[in-house]
Order: sequence, then C-alpha cells, then structure tokens
Amino acid sequence: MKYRLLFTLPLVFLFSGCLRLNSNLFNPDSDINAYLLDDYKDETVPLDSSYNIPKELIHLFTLESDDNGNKAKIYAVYIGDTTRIGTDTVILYNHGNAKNIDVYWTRAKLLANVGGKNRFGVLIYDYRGFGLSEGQPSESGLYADADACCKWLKSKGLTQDRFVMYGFSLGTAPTCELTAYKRTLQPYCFVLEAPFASTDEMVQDAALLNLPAAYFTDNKIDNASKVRDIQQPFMWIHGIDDSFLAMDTHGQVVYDNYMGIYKEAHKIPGGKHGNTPYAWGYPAYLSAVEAFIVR
Amino acid sequence: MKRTITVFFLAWILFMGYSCAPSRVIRPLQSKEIQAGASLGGPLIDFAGLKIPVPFSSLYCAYGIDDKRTLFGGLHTTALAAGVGQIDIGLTQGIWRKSGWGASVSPVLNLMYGYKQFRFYPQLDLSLYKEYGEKRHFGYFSLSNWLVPYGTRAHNVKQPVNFIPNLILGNTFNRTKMNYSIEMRWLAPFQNNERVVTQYNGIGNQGTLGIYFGVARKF
Repeated sequence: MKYRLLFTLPLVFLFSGCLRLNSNLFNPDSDINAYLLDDYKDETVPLDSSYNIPKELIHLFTLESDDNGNKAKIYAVYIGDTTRIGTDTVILYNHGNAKNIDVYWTRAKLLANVGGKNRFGVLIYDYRGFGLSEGQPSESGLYADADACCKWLKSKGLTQDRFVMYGFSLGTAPTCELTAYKRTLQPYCFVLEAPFASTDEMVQDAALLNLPAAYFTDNKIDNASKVRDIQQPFMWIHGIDDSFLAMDTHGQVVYDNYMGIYKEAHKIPGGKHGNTPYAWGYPAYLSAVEAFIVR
Repeated sequence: MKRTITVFFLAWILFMGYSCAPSRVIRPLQSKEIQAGASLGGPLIDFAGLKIPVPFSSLYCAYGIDDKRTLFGGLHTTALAAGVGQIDIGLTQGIWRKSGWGASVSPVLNLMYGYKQFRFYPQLDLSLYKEYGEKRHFGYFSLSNWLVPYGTRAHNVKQPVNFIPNLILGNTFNRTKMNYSIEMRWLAPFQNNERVVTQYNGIGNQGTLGIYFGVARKF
C-alpha cells in the first residue's frame, strides 16, 4: 500500500496542469475542401437574392500570418473592388467561434450592403485552424491573424480614416485588441456585436461562483478591460434574448467600461446570440450601421 | 460563438465547485474507524446523443473520532490535473438517531489554490438517512449549501448569489470491507440556467443534474 502511494502521488502531480482548456473557446470546422459561400445554407441570418454580390466582386485569397514566429497561411475573402481599397471605406469582419467563413458569409454580405450595394468593402477571414486556414487556434493567433488582414489592407492603400472594424462574439476579442493597441492599422471606429466581457466572466457566468478563469485556461481575453483603452467611436449591438452571452453580464459591462469619445447602444428585442441582425430587421440594421460609420 | 462550445468546457467549469464530488460522510463512522475512498462523476452533459455524467474524480479519507463525529478530507484529482489544488475538509456530526433513521450535519471548508489565486467556500450539509437490510445499507437525502463569501466577481460585477443550495438523493451499499455509493444531485435548483454560456441539463430550466459514484474501503 505504501509503495503504491509513493508511486501514485508523484504521477498525480506530474500530470498537474495538463488539463488546460486553452483550445476550448474555439470551435472550428476545418474538415472542408472548399468554401461554399453562396451555396452554404444558413437559416440563422437568411438573405434573399436582393443582397447578392456580383461574382466579380468576391475575391478569395490567402495571407501569411505571423504569430511571433508561428506562421500560418490563412484564408480571406474580400467583397468589393480590390483596386479601390486605396479610396474606399473598408469593414474588417472578425467572426465568431463556430466553424468557418461559410457560417458568417451572409453576415459579410449584409455588411457589403450597408449604405447600398458594395458601398463599403468588406474583408472576412478565417482564423488559423478555422476552415482552410492552417495552424491551431489560439488567443495570440486571433490577434496575429486580424493583424495580417490589416497589413494586407494597408498594402492596398487603406488608411485609418477609412477603416472600420466589426467583431461578432469571439471576434470582439481581436477587435478590441487591435482597436486599443496599434499594430499595423487601427480603425477609426468599431462595432461590437454580442461581445463577451472576458474569459473570467464566461467562467463565472457558468459556475455562479467567482472562480478565476486562470483555473481553466491560459487565455486572458478581457474585452471589458481593453475597451477602457479605446478612444475611437463605439457601436454596441446585443440581442436582449441572447442566452449564450447574456447582455447584462457581458455586453453591458463592455459598454459601461468604454470611456472614449462616442458610443451608442442597440439592444435588440427578440435578438438571440446568432440572429440579432435578423431580429432587428435588415433595413434597420443596415441603416444603423451606415449612420454610425458615416457620422 | 455558438452553443457548440466544447461540452467539456462547461463541465470543467463546474468541477471546481459544488458539483465536483459526492457527499463524503453521511452516516458517522464508528469510533476509530478509517475509511478511504474515491469518487467519479459530475454534471450531466450531452455526449454522442446520450446524457452522461462528466467523470470527475476525487479521493478522500475519513476518521471516526467517536461514534457521532467523523473527520474527513478530500483531494480533487481532476482539479489537480488542471493545475489547481482543491481540497475539502469537514466534520460530520450525528445529531439524531432512532429506529434505523438518523440525521447528521456536516460543516465543510472548500479551499482552492492555483495560478496565484486563492478561493474558499464554506459549505453546510444537512442529511437524513434510513438504514435497511442486514448489512445496514442506507439511503439518504441531503441539502448541501454552498456559501459564496465574496461580494463581487469579475469587473466588479455584483456576485449574483451568495448561497447555492443543492438537493441530493443517494444510497450506500455496505459490504464487509467496502461500500459503494450512488448519488444524484440537483445542482443550484433555484438558479435559472437559460442565460448562461453553458448548456445545462436541469429540471425546467433550473440548475443542472449530476450523477456520482463512490467506492470506499474500511480499515
């Protein structure tokens, strides 16, 4: 018995720390051979043909993203005329944690209809490990991949005064990070749809107890704190019926913490986590986003 | 972000707290009796089309100070594997016994330390048990109460609840040297589970259910 204990206890301590949940914030689907885009069926944000984008304005391409030496080829789609990025206003869309670009394609198309068809360019991309993008998802990888998109846009002539960043759910993390702290290009304004406050808040929301997120994950995503360092105008959108990231404990905290030059809140009745533009009504949603961008 | 966040994320979050282990000692041990045991189980999750308990594990040891008081302590091995030291220390006090029925009260202190952060949660369990059969098996019902002695949580948001009750129904089968337990818990039954990041299997959108298995050796 004594020897068994002597053998077992070191083993227990040896494995201490091996059950970290660093990758569990991410839910990628990389088991695809190609993006479906218009052929992908999404019932959450359904669009009729009036929102279609001409094929010649849809550009699928790859970028190299460098996360402190951990390089990965990531996939992106630009909706618009790439030769006019030097003069157009462009929205960078940082998507949520599910699957890949296909799931968010209708959202990107919606944004390409803000203020009229293709008034603004839209760039959507897959984080490393999502869709066809190489590598494994990580918090630092999110920021590096978003920055790789910024580099590409800057190389095409985009400047800060025409750059808008839009984050949905998980995508609010790179949005806050790159809006708050300059890497390649900071946006002049930003939109957060269904933001989460932090990994701490996610854990405490689930557990009821005030447990530190550090007990479970090395991710330190903290939008609620980072937003304090942001000055650029801020638009917050949240579905009142969001049962995944509750409006009061996540979005409201981020909104309240923002101390920059301008903010506006849109709490959408009937809006759940994934369908807020639909619940809002597309014309109202598009008008509000346009009004914010051009204000 | 969709609800498809990995099922184990929710489960892991739960393991630290009131859902991580079954009751340690319901019926006080005999004087000088030592019992060492292990438990497996946790909140129910949806996995491969089935609802299964998360297999969280813990080890514990109990010692009968006298026939009415038993001291016990537990080590949460799953938490340890995540790099967090979690122990519980408690005392079960028999408060009533008659005709095979008995009642006990167990004050417990749950301590956690990891990544330079410390948490503690006092707990008070009230149990009623009924012995049956020649081997003195017993079934039990407990009200386990977790106290959250903190006023705020992340970002200075007010801690929403400071008292978390759990309802427990269980049975312990006695053998000469071993005993075996099965326990069902309704965790946080007064908390609505609809607006949280995780997908719980509660009753009527309240709390979540858990199933636990225990085995113990008597010395």
